[in-house]
Amino acid sequence: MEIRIENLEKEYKNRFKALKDVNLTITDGMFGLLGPNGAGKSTLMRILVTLLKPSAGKVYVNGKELSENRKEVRSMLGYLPQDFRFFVKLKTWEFLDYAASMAGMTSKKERLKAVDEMLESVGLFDVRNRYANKLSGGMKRRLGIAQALIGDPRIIIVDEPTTGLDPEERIRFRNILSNLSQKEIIIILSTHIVGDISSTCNKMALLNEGSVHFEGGPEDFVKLADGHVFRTHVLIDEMKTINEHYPVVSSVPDEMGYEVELVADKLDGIQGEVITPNLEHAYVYFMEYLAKNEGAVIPHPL
Amino acid sequence: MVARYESKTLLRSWFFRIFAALALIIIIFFDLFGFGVIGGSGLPGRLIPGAVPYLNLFFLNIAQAVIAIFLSADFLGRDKKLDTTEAFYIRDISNFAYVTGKTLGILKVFVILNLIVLLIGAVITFISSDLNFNLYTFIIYPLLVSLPTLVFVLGMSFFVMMMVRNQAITFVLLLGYIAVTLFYLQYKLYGVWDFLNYFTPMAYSDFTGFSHFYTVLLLRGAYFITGLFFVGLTIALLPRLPQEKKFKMTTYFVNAVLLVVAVVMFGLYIVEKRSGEHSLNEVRKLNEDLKDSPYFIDSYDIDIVHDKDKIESSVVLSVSKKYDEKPDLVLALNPGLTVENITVNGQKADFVRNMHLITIPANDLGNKFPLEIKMKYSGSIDNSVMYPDISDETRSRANRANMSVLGKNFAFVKPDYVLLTREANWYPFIAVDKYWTKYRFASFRMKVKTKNGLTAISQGEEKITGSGAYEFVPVKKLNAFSLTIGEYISKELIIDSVKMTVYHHPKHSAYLTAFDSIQDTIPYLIKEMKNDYERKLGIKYPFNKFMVVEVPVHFLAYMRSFTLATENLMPAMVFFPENGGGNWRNDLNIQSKMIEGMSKRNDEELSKQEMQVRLFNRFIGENFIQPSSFFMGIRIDESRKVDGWGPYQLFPLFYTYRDFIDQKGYPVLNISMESFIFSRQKSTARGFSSGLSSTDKVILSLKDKSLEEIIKEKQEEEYANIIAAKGSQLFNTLRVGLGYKDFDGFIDSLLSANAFRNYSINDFTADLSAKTGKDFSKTLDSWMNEKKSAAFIFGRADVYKIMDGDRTRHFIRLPLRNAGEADGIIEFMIVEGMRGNMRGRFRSTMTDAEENKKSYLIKAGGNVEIGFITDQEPRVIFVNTFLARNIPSSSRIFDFNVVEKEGYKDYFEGMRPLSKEVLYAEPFEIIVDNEDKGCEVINTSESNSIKDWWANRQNALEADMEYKSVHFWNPPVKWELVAGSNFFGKFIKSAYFKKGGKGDAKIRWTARIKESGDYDCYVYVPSTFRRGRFRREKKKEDKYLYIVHHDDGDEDIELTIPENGGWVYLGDFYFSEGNAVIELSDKTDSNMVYGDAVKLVKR
Repeated sequence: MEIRIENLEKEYKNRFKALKDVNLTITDGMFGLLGPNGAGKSTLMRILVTLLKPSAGKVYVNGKELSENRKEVRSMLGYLPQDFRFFVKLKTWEFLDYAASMAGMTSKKERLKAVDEMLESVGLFDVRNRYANKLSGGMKRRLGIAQALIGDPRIIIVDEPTTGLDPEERIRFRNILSNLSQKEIIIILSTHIVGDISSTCNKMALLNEGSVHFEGGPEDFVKLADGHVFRTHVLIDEMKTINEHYPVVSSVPDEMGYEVELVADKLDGIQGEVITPNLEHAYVYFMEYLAKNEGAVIPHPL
Repeated sequence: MVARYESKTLLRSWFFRIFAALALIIIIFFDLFGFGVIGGSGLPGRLIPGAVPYLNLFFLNIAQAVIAIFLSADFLGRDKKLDTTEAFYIRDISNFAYVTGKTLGILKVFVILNLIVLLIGAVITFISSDLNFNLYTFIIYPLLVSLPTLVFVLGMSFFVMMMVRNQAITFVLLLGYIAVTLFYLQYKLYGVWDFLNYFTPMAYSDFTGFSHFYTVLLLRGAYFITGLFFVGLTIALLPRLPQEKKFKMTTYFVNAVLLVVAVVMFGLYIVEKRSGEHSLNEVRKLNEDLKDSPYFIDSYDIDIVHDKDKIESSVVLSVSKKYDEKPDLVLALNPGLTVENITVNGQKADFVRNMHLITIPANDLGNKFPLEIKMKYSGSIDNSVMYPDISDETRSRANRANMSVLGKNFAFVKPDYVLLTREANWYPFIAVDKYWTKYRFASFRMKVKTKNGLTAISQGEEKITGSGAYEFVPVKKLNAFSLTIGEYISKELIIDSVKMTVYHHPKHSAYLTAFDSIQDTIPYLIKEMKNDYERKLGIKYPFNKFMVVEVPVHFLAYMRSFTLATENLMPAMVFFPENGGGNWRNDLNIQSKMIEGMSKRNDEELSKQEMQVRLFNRFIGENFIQPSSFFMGIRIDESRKVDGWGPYQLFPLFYTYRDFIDQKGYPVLNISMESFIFSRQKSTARGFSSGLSSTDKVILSLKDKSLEEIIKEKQEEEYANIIAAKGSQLFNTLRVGLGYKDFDGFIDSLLSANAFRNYSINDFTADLSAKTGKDFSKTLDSWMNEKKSAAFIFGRADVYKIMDGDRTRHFIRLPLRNAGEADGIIEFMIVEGMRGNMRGRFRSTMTDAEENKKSYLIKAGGNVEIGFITDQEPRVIFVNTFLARNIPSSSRIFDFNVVEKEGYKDYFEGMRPLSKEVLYAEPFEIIVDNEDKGCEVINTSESNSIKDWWANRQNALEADMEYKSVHFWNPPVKWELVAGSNFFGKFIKSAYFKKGGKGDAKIRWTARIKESGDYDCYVYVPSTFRRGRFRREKKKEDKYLYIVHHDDGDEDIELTIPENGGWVYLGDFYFSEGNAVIELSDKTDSNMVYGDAVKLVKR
């Protein structure tokens, strides 16, 4: 499986350019799409799932142009939209059954079996007869992922799936996805939560203001921040200055003041030890230093 | 799958559930009560074949259209609102499958609802003994009524929702559209707007199925296709990227095709309707140019073959001449019949056909009279050109039997059914000026060939000459001839040597069970009624056969202005609509329940036989003898308004189809004579009805105008009534001059001597001149041109006890004056004895009184007194002042002044002159009536509650009438005039009335006081009797508030209104010279307030 995105642009009617010349290649496995709110993640997703038409550029799925082959692509898709809260008056299992039938499962017997299995795997079997609208927020999300997964889709696209979930649910959710990524399918996960990506994705891209600023493995992304993450100790009254000058990733108070992790091109006037960056550090570094440099597109590390 | 889940969610929506439950409950109740399963009443029209599925779906359809709008607009709105929808939009399903799935889902739910309703209907049909189950109707109605409306409404609301993208606006737009079609567009453009099937004729007949099936199919089909088109548009415009590249092309192409098909169907519908209208206008135009003709037809020899939806006729006519001129011979024949050839005296004639007219040039006629003309023609009957004299407005209105919309067929030529009446023009007439108003006599004989198994029915002696072959030879000449062919069963009776036959559809024998216990009594009942009617009319039934033929409900015969006969009657024959034609009075089950209920209330024990006798008398009486013409609301449909008239009334068999006074142009004299004879059987003692009688309306329009002027100024539809009333006046005047017995006997002998022949106006004038000794043509002339009229003022009727031998009797003296400018006649009928005598419509006591009618001629300015002597105390005197200015023309005197005087000797019967002038007001009295200038009304600002608006809307029906009728259930919010004998007035007995109010509206009487002084003040209060269901209500005390403005100030007087009404004393007040003002406020606790007159009497 391969999704190739070439020179994709999207300009909305209000002339807002949500995507600017996006080029990406996505292959089997889990692909994370990281970016702040409003970066154009959802727009890109919606184009990929055939809900939106790009203004320019092409998307190829297994070499086939998307807008020419919507039927075929749709038959491979599973999609969890960013907002997934309001349901028609259907029971949980009925909703899933409906989705399964739309996903092309015509045999009623098979479908009902698949529905039960899926409900089991997302932990909704006990509430299968409850109306979908009456489920809790987390359950609704799980039902959302269930409907995206049902019918063995080969491309699964989930838009901000973990927003509003409690940590336990988030972990459960990540596990479901990682189990799937063993198969030969593409899973695209868009998020602004770094943790989602670090724990699951083998590939990622960073989208900011409609452009791809990074594409590669999460480890490559982390490397970008090598030598730019520092740990230091500051006194209480110094904290304010530090906050004004550097993006602070974490600050842990102690009896003297704070132990602070911060990101900087180089430290100026204070002492600190360089530490090994993680994905979150890299993201902050990237957003605060690299992305702010107009036109500073990071060259592909490979 | 989309459909399945869409219906599932719909079924779970509370809105739908509540609606469906409500609809079902209402329909169950409607069915149970409406179709007579429970309770003593039923829906008029329940007996029309297929009425159960039709009416059920008729109601459901309107309700479900509204609901479908709500639901389907919701469908796309919901898609937009629900974020979960997107998860489905990315699936592999085409936009087509998605939208059709949704549509089918909604449809499915409605189909279920429809099926439940039909099932209920079927159950109702099976448990009712008098309803027939017809599977065909249960299948076809949902397809024709529900389906197109649903698909159209769904499609349209999807589309509108798509366009405006706002649920609320969509609702408003679409509900507005429904309202506009129901209340404004209605029948406009041939009812093409009727997507709800509210005006489209959909009733079913066991004889002929649907009427106008083709046009109905076109219209319903067009809406169905349009609905599909809208669904198609929705698919095309769905805010979701399509699956396939060629999607746009395909959907637009399919939509274009659907649109074209729909437009073509609508177009065909209109073209079909318009072509009929075009022909009609052609016929009307040609009719205007028709001239008098010397030719007339003596005899017809008709050979007719009925084959599928065609008839083939060979007719031999014998044509003679009245006077010696020889223009072209113009014949009229229905334009649906194509003439193949015509020979005159054996020679082939060239003829020109233009619509209905066939012109044979004078040259082709030869000189050998009578001409023998042979014509061969075939085809069907073009319904659209029949009744060209009926206005387009009347024609376009739905033929509603309450809710069922019936077809409007004036004639039928179908494979299994034929109905041809005179108006169908299925045999040729001479096309003279106004030929359709001339009922000329000719002799007939006819051979009929039809399919084996069908029965042919016509006038005359019948001979069956083979299978499906009949011969009819009427004994006498006829002025109308009809042919009916169909599947009939007959039942026969011979009474007074008249062969009476009922022909009915094999399925419609339920009426027999209604009279099963009185089979042996029926001949006596009929005989009694027949004799009674003949005695009243003074004319014997002139035929030796009498046939009641059941005809399809779709058969419609318009009432015409120039005759009391409709095409429902043909010589010796009545065409009675299938199962009673949706008329409540003909619903025997319901009627017998009513009789049962009534007898229970009156504590009467009725045996089954007695019940059935009552039912029979009522049924025959109401339909054939003297309909009580009780119509809810006002009749607006027919052109000639005749009180106590019904379309199946047998009267025309005694006059219209027996006698004809032949006159050039409009048959003024024939109308007059018909009306005069008709009035003989009309009971003067009509039940009281508020509002004006047709005669009263004539009096108002005759004000200072002659008949001649009116004929020139007005439309035919309007003046026919006036001619009838004037004619009745003419003959009644002659009758007063010659005496009752003499004149009536003379007219009877004249008419029977000229029965079944064309009685020319010259002969008629000569006969009358000879009898009266005056030149009748002069009388006729002044009758046409007279503008003045009589006007009567009545004095107080005094009653004395007198000794006549050793009997105590009663003498009534009634002074009266003719204050008008012309001589006038007046007729009295006195009823004596106590109440209870008048019960029952066909009892003999009433007819005794009828025979005591006395008429007098009173010269202009003359003062007379009329004396009556009765055995018992007089109860009421019915007074008929004919066309004098008095309104109402039929009134009653019941307020007698009983004079206790022993040995009164000055009694007399009849009329004697009076030296003293009969005065309206004594010299010392000042009367201000509501008709006087001194009376004015003050209305409040328009009330604006919805109830008031509704009341106004109801009353708007008679907005053009000066005098309204009293509606107890919704009195007007403004002062309105009402006339009736319970009111006071010099010539016009009328009063103002309105709904009780808060005191803002007033009536003000201003009297001129010439001499200052103390005056006794009276007000006239009408007796406010109540009718119908109000009668049994316990009457509470009514109080009116009067305000007297007298010299010492203003005084409010709350007056308790006596039940019997009359002059009520208000008090004595001092008024100085000038104006005295008395006001009546509308402030009262009672429902209505009446203001009539005030009287001031100098002390």
